[in-house]
Amino acid sequence: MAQPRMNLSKLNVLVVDRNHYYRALISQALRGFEIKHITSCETASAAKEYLTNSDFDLCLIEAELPDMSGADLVRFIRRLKKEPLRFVLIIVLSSYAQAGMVSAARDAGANLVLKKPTSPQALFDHIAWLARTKRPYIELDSYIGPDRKFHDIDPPDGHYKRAKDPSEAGSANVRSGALEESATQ
Amino acid sequence: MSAKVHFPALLLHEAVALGGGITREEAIEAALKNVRAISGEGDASIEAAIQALETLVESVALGQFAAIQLHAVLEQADQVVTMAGTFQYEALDSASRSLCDTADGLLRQGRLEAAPVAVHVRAMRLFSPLYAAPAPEVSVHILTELGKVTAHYNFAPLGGAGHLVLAIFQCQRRFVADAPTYRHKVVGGLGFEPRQAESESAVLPLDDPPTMTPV
Repeated sequence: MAQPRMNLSKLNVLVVDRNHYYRALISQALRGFEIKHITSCETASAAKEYLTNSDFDLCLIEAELPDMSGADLVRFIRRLKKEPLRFVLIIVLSSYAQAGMVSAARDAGANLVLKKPTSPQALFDHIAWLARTKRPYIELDSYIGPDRKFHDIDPPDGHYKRAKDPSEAGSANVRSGALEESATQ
Repeated sequence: MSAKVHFPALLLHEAVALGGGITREEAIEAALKNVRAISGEGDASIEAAIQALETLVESVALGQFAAIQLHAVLEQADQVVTMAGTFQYEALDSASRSLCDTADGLLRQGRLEAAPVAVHVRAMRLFSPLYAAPAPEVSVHILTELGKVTAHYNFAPLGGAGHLVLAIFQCQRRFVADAPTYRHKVVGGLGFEPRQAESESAVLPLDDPPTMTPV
């Protein structure tokens, strides 16, 4: 069976990382994926300028930039007026990926957080996963970014809510009979 | 404000349907070839980061960092983690991760002591790829001592300070096994990768992005 192919040649990618050598590494890997249009810069302010003047299809942003955090840059992008740029796919890269940093990137609206060092395999697989997984974007006062509930599967055991949560008892918002049964017991 | 739901048309999503293109194997092979072409500059990049750390340590007055200096330490150590991991310098990778734990712990606790940072930087100098690598037993000893420093300050990372030693012995299985548990606890397996004790994310493409298995 023929392997699936992906045509990434038309993508316009922005790489923001304070380390020039790592920017070169990532760019080299992206060129191997046949991505031809790659823009790289060191700081968030330079990235903002590029974002103002160009459109991008994918952004790879380091978590800690010299002039602001990666999460803040993600938040800036998600609040741009330009569409579809503000829904651009964003991967945050970090070496020292603490849970707090990961949560901050997620809450800012990043699509993925990827831990450095990033192998070409991991980078390609994550990009391919983003390409295959169409997620709607949610816009709220406090959050603009991809819908976090993207698993298209049922919860385990047919329980859609916590059976013991008193506020759920008698709720009409029941998707299966499992909760009604547990509430009446 | 009510929630708005957008379904943007993104070019990357069309990449799957567009004609032509390359397979995963072709893409990875070409990328690896391109990356190898510039690998020579990596050691110089590591050396520059270690020198920057040494300069920071030398600039300390009265054994105390300023908070901004400690942030700079964390930034430089983070660079070394990236590069050491990329080129698989295991001892340097472990020492620089330990420095990250230490600098981060000092910042969180509001302690700006320079001594634990200085000892890590000296260890990193010994592990610099530009110099002859210490004997394995010496490396183990150095990393064990660094582990004692982080344990003393209670800065032990996920999995405990023992990862310093275990990294040398390549006993990575336990960390790989622990990582998914921690991932689900912290972020619910949403496709995000919290800190793992080892840099496994880059070598576990089958597990991450997450599978469709219920959490």
